[in-house]
Amino acid sequence: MSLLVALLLASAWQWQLGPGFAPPAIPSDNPMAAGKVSLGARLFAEPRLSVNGTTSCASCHDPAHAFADPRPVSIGATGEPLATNAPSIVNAAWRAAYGWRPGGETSLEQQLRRPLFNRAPVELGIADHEDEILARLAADATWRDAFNAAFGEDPAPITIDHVIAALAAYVRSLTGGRSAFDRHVFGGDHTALGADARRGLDLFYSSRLGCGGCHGGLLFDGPWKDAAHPRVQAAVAQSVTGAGAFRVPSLRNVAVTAPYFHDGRAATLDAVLDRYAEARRFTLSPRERAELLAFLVALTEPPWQPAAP
Amino acid sequence: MRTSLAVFLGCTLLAGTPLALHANGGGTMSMPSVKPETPLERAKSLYNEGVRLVKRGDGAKTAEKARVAYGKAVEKFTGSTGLAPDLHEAWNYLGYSYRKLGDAAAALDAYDRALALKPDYANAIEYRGQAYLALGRLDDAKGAYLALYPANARLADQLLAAMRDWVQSQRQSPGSVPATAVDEFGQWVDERARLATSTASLTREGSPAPTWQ
Ligand code: HEC
Ligand code: HEC
Repeated sequence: MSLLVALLLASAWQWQLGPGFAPPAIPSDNPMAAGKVSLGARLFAEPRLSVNGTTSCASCHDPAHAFADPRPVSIGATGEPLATNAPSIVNAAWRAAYGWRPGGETSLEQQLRRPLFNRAPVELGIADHEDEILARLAADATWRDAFNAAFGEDPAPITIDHVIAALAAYVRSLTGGRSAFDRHVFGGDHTALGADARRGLDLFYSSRLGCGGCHGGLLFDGPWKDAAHPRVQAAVAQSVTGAGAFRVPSLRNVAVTAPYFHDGRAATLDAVLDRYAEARRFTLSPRERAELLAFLVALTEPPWQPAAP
Repeated sequence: MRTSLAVFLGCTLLAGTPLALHANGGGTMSMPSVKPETPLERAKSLYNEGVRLVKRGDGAKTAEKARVAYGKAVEKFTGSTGLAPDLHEAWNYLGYSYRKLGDAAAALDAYDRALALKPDYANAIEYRGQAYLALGRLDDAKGAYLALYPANARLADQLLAAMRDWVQSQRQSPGSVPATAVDEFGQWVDERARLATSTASLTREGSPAPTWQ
């Protein structure tokens, strides 16, 4: 083992957490490590990890959109549309459960088997092609090095389990918490939220609008899990679209995760608010609407934070 | 605001010493233990005695009686931490007793020791925040509040109430902190109070029920 490899294996993972966040719960059989996370980052963007070399995780979880899909519904490697819009996976480490529907997987390692192996519809479509895809990676010295750096203790480190472990570690490393909202509320810098966004905060948590009742917690998606509270239940609610029960989605970085709702039916936040106002029977004055929107935008952080108007 | 220890006294007495409460209950010496006390056992006994004195101080009818009780408590906790420097609870109570005696600087040292041993020790963070206030170290007091806010809403509220009292008392009888700084701090505290009310569902204790509808 080279010295560099040994160093990477030894380096303990340092969380870069925003104020208010506690370290997430990490499965004991997949500890965080720098080499694993960088391998995961590379796998995440690698189209060779799909059946026909066309699609990567990043095709649907676009880093420029806080790792959400800007298309209404995501399209798999073979061109099949999926039923849902790919949500942002920033802060997924704290999510109590995964997927839009209630009762989703509670661990990332389990959840990631879906995009890799799903057949109907196909996402990456590697089921029955595992050996071929692993051989493609093994043929490339840079991949061999990267797997060695992450899993060097294993004589044959290029395996599907290691692909999943590295991807999960990478997804967990996508942590946020540096929005204007965080700086104001958790950081105590009361100049961070402008006057509009600050009034929008009051509207958001008001009993009249009631947004905070469902979109509560650190991620605005209800109870979250962390190392001290590894078992919590995800919040689930009836969708204002009338399409049934869904897991309450996070509103962090919502300014760049359009289109909205599980099937991407709302193109803008304005359209989302229209739907809410109608379904939950409240009216917003133009001014209140602007304030609520300013608040939602303030949940978006660098590098996605829009420039100040 | 009066800080009362009574709420969590029950669970902070340390077990595992032959001279602890039950063994010595009622003031009469029961079954003398044949084995000599280890330093840790002695430290825990002193700690338990100190906690009883703190409780007596908190409930004292006169300031003088309280002072005597806290003074004796300081001796117990000093003895306890001398024998077992890792006993973070004892450092915390030592800080509390010093603060009640009006010695904020000594209190701060003790809280620092408690928090060096256990950085997420919420009770000590709250008490240290109060010691910072007493010393006019407003940014540090803010820091203590912000550390408590996401983790322990009850203690955060308690510290916030102490901050409001402090602002009030500074306005009535100005101390060493300039009036503008007091006002600025007062505004900060007011905004925290508004935020604490509206964002209850943001923190773990106020987070919404797991399922809706
Ligand atoms: C073809 C598009 C597509 C690809 C490729 C894809 N995903 Fe997804 N991803 C989705 C969709 C759509 C969902 C929502 C699924 C649902 O309806 O529950 C999702 C959900 C997720 C979630 C759960 C997020 C949450 O908060 O519930 C994670 C994590 C995730 N994907 C990670 C990955 C990783 C890692 C890869 C690469 C191995 C990947 N995805 C590849 C479309 C895709
Ligand atoms: C009853 C619980 C509940 C309340 C109250 C609620 N939401 Fe939602 N919200 C949900 C659920 C569930 C979804 C997902 C629905 C879907 O995809 O069909 C959602 C989706 C959203 C989305 C789209 C997120 C995305 O990534 O697609 C936004 C934005 C949003 N809500 C904002 C708000 C605002 C603003 C309010 C207050 C006016 C509010 N919500 C009130 C439960 C709630």
